Amino acid sequence: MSRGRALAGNLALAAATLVVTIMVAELALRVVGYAYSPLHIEIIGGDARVQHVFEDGHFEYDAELIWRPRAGRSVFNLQGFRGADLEQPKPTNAYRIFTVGDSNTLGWAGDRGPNWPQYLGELLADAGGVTIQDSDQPAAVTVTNAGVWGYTAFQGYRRFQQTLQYEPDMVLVSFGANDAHRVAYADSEFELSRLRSSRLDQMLSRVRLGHVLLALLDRSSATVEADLRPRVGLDSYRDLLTAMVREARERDIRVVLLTRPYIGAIRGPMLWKNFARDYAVATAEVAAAESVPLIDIYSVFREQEELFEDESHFTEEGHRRAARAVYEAVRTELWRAGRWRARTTELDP
Amino acid sequence: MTTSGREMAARLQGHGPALYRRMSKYRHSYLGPTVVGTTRPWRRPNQLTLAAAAAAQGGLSGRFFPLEWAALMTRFLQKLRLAPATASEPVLVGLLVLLALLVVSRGPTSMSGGAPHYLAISHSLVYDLDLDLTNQYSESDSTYVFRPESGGTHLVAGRDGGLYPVRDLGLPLLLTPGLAVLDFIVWTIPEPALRAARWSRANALRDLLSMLMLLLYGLTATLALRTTQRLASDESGARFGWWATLVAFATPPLLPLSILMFPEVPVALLAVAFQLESLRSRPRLWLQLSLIAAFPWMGLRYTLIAAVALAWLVLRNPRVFSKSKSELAIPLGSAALLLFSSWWMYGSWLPWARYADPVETRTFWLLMFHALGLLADPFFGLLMVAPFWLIAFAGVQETWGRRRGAAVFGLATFALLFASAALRQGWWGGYSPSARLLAPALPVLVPMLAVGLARLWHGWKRLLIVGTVGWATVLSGVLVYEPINLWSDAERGRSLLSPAFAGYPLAQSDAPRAWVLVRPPPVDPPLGLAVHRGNLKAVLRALTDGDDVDAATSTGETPLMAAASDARGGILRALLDGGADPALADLDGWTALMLAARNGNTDAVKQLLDAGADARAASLLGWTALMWAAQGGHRGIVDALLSAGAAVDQARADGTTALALAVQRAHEGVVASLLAAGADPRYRSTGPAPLDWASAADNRRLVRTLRAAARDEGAA
Repeated sequence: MSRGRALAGNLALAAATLVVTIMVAELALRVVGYAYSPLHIEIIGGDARVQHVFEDGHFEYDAELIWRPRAGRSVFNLQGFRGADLEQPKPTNAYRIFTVGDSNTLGWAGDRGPNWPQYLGELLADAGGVTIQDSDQPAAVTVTNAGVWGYTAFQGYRRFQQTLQYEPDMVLVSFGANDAHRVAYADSEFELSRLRSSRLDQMLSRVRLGHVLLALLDRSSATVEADLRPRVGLDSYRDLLTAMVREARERDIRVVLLTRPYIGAIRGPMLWKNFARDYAVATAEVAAAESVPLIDIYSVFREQEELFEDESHFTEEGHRRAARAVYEAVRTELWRAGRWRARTTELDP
Repeated sequence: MTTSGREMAARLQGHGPALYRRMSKYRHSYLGPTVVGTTRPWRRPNQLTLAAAAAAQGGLSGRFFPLEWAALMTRFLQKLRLAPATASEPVLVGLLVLLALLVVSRGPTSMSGGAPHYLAISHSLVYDLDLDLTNQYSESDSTYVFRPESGGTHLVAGRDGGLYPVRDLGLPLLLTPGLAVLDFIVWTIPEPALRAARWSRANALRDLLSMLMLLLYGLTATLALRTTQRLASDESGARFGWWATLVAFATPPLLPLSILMFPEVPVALLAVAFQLESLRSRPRLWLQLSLIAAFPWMGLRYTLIAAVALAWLVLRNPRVFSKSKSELAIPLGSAALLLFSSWWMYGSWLPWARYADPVETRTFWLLMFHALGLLADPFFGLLMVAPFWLIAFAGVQETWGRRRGAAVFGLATFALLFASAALRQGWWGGYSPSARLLAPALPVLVPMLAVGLARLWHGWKRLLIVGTVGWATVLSGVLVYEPINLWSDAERGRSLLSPAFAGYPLAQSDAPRAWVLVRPPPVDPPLGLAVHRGNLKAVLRALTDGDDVDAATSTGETPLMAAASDARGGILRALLDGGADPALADLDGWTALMLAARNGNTDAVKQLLDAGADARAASLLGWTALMWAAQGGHRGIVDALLSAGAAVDQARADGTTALALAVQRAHEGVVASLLAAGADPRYRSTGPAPLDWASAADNRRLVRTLRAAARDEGAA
């Protein structure tokens, strides 16, 4: 046998050995279920933000909002809200209410998916009591649902700012559930660069040996922080609500704060429900400090399991009852603002 | 020292009443004797293992251990003719089990579907010694998976008012000893060892139960191989039996079922065991009949297989029952027991009466569509995921010539299952029923597959075999690599071992939802449970037994709060007499008094006030008992609270007072009471004043009342 052939044979053998070793290692990693995630979020069953950004067709990545609704997709209109498109510029007889919140505000998917802002709009329209500024003429009142599934006050504040171009007259704000979720990176620290975006990284993450490499790379660059933290800390939450209230006040927009409802037992020390009540209390504190009305939806609906589809989302009946409670509060607020028409002058404030 | 059987029996008898007394206390308690807040780990009383442990105590110290037990087991296996026939058999089965473990450890195939509902039945047998699943589906830790109403399609109201399973009892009965024993084993693993392995007890139990299903799968493969070697000709049996078994079991749809708690694998096991037994030169009638009798227990539609099996038996030997009549007691007894259990649970002798909607009448074309989908659906179709069954059908012809009974049994089983599957929509929707439903027929066709392989293994036809088997293997590879949504809509790939690698804290189980029923929940104490159920006797017993009267749940709810919410006067009295503290508040700062006031429970409010409950206590969000009573319009409670010293103008942070809430809901009587007690109609901090609420609601009477009150106050 010639030396060349022997060499070629040896090389082939070496290559085959390498391939087999890699395959065995890959197989072994799969058998033991090894997988590495740069987000370190498996601990509490996945980070919903990643899903919203990359896997949910209703949303797309947004550098500020982390994810934003795709206009015209799912329940969102062409302006990215739930409800009819709003006329621009704003007509003089329009009275616009925006609801800024999370999934329980946006409501269930589908054209007829229950959501309390829609029912609130219907109640206000039926009552017909809203008046045009400094006049007794009826105003055309609309309730525009600016809620987004999975949003926190961090995102809600930016969402609120987006609504300003439509000149709202009143904004209802309901957060405090997603904010309490424990994750590796707070919303304010969330950047797309944290995720695997380069082509090489994507290729590596397709095989488990690649996961090992990525884990080693990440470990060496020490960008991974293992400690879990809330998506929005309590102090930030207070600051964000306060900022919303103050910015609204500068524009003569009335703000009403809502506590976020949820029910059920608490399982596991890191579950968001361990912390959610702190956010409800913080909401009440901000309302008191900033002198804006509070609708304590959480307390009113506490333990009313029959009105919840799951631990934190209303059934249709829940949405309708919540709308009724909000309606009464909004009506009173409009009354105080002189924008609710009393049937007799006897009742003028 | 040796222990005789008589001594063991005596010891057991001694244990019996004491054990029963201890257990009967928790007879209806799902959650066991743990009190939250003590250092004792929670634990449900596992009634079956307690009895087994008592029996084992005798065995362990006696002469039965360990060699005698080993000899006994070997004799048992020999009696079943299950000792390995060839050296390669254990290798094949070991390979299959390993492969199954590899595939199912990818996760999505190891959960979801009917598994939790079958487990719920086993669970009830082990922990409650009954089949009433009310607590399994309604109590807090189960509702993580099932909300009480989700039991709807899985539960039926029974004869005695309990809720009984719609699903068949066979698989749960089979698993119950396993669950009981494994539960016992899992609880003997020391805490430090679990912590070191980052394994929770629930995960350990789940993994071990999965292993149990794998054992059944391995056993099915063993029997399929035996049948093949017996049924195929010597040449094809020896050369292709091994490969046929490997291919049939290592590719879908049998493979992903290997760990699922579905009855398909046990049914396949019964079918192939019956076939094997019938092929013996001297089949044992009692075993054949036992296997036949077991089919309907696994699923009513498997009565079809039982019918085919019975026909085979009778056609092969028409006078089989004239000689041995006594064996007939087995199927007849089984049928009688099935009917009786149906009556006992559902109050109807007809076992199918429990199905709310019987098999729908489908149009012919829909039926054809389903049938086509069952074969060729790109995700579920049998020929798509396992095309080698075409080769098996090619092998039927030769088997037909030599062993017609076996060929007919295989074909008839397949055809009947196919027809019954085509009649129904698969659980996870899609275009067609899942090929999973055909799985019980497949091991029965493995011999035909071996024959088909032998017939086609010539010339260019080899390409057909390589192509089809290759295609099936590629699909298996897909299943291993990317199983998402191929077999279930469940969560994405989670390895069985992943909790250990992800660093889960011990208490934070990551059990997939199918197994949540057995995961350790943060439990409600038994006293709280008795209160929730309104069982005064159980409450009194728990109090006599020294249970902590103030033991709280994860949200801080004490039994007193539960009693105050549920308007159970007698229980509330008993708890207060037992020393319950009315001053305690839950994590939201709610007291029993607030809950009683909110629910309009006047007697409870009075009892609590008499016991010294603080009428001025406020929740974290500022709600007082007076506010709840005012909002609910409960004037009697408002009066009681006011005379007990409730502060009439105590306000929430935003300035809302009890009066504002009463006005908001237009409860005029309550408004009158509050005003009489000196409530301020103009009280306002940041929120609306009572007068604002009345005005905005256009309630003139209330506006006049409030204005009058304000004037009086001004005048005073």
